[in-house]
Amino acid sequence: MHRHLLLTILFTVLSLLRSQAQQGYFQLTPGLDRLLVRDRQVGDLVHRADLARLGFTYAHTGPKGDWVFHLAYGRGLLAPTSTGARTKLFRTWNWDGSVTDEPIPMDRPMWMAELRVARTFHAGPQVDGNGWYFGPALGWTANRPQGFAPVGQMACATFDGLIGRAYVSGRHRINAEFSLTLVALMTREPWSRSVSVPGNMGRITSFFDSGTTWAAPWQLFQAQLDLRYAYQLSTRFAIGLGVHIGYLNDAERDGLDHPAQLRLFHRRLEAALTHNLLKR
Amino acid sequence: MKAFNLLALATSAVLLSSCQKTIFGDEPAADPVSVFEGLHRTVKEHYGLFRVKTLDWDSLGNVYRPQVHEGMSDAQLREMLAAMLTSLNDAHITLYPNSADLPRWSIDLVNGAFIDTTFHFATVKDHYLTEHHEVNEAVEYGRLADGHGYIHIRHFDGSNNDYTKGLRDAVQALAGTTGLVVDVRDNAGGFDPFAQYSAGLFTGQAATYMRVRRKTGPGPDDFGQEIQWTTTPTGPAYAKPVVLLTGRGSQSAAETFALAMRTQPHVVHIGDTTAGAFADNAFFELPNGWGVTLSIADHRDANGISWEGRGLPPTIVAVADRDGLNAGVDAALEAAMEALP
Repeated sequence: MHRHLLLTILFTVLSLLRSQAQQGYFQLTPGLDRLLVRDRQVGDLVHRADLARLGFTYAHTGPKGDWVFHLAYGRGLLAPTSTGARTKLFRTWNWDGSVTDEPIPMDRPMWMAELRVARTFHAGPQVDGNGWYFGPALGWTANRPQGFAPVGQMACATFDGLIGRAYVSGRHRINAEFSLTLVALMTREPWSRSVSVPGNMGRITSFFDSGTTWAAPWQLFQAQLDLRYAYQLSTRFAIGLGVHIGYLNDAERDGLDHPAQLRLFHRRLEAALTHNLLKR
Repeated sequence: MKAFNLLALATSAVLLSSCQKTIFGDEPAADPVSVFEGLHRTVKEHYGLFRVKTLDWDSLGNVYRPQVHEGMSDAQLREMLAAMLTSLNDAHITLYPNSADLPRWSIDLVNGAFIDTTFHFATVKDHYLTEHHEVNEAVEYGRLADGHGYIHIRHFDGSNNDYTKGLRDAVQALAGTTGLVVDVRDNAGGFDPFAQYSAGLFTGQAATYMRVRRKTGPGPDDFGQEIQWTTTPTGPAYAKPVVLLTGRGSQSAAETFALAMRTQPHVVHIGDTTAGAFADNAFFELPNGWGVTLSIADHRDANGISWEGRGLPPTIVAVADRDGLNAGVDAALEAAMEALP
């Protein structure tokens, strides 16, 4: 828990360091994220969630590169692809001898939260915003399924490397960006799936304390691809569309008390409304 | 720009196509035989009480496997899986069919319902309490006609605050009484740390009450280090005589609570034997979307004795019955009141 908190504070500090400057842009990105997940610690079924998602980005642009601070929240029903939303029947015996049947949904929404701070550098001299860029990024993602099956429950802090290419022509701008996780701090329930710890009454702190481990790229592989198009409406405003594809694989490990494989695949389509802080 | 076009084309293809099979492979088969094998494997890898139950799971699988066949109805499959799981004699194992018609199955349920004719809180409230305070969903308390205090803990779920404030305040409110009944007869359990904290409100002297080993891998002997659970004072302890009332409905964290309470010399355990399902449990999925909960650890008392499947017997047996309760008489509560000074 503390390690995750430290990283979150670090993200905030990094972004605040640059937030004084009036050069950059704010961006709102509503979208739809289709998540597929298989958590073998719970079972072999593939689950799907269509998450309604809202993202917020602040970017400070400088002569050498950008600072980009991004946060997002999403929520949607998670259920097996093979069965759809499921029901369980609860039967209650009443004191008068009658019984009450209550069908209860077995599947409920999953929510996800995402934080990311990226520092990018221009790969060479840029002409009108065109060119390659690269840099490191710190990310934090949490998935919290609220249904009966805790499929895909995790929190993951990552240090990523990214590379991107921007193309600007008149009012049109296209960005393509690829990032790869280099090292991660991964939290999942342990093999037993129990986070009941003596003296610790906080279920969330117990979750972080019981199942957090460092992961190398061959243990946790995560790759993400972003493709964005923006159309400059005026000197201040732009609208656009973005697509995102992400893949995460938390592999089986040697040794005990690590959960079985978790695999997630995201596909996201989002709109973008951008407000520039400096006239372009 | 050509590269961007190609990338956009590839991305669109991924967005619009069904990548599930490419990324995840085939879904598991969901026929009765596959469901049986899925359940058998899940229990084999995750169940934490084979040593306690002294049961050969592979042999049991060999007995039931020939009875599974294609074309079984869901109801037949439920009955067959339930029959196999019955051998484990574990109230923490519950089978959840994905159905609005087929009820869940567990060894302590009758046709899907838990029937307890030995406890009826309305009788306690209407015939024994002179005052009644509902603190939260977990805790209610009052005073008995003889002046003793009474606390009913319905479960050990909810939030910290239910116990660190709600239960603590209830104990404080009854601090002036000469004795107290703590009633967990219908407490189906919850989170062990809440039970541990609650027992601490009645703890004068720290004592180890439970030893736990959790499964850490799929092998039969893959267990982690033993974790000792100790009860320590979590507030100004209620040090006057206390009766702990349990019943067949006292399960899971209510039973670990009982283990903790029994370490204290001023606590007497009265009532009926508990359910006998102490270990933590977790939910797993079967290939057809059904679910099953399993005990994933080995919980024992401070002496290393397992009460799984048997339940914790009280020091003094006193059990109410339905006719008595309907007539306003709770024999177990009356025995508790008699035991207090």
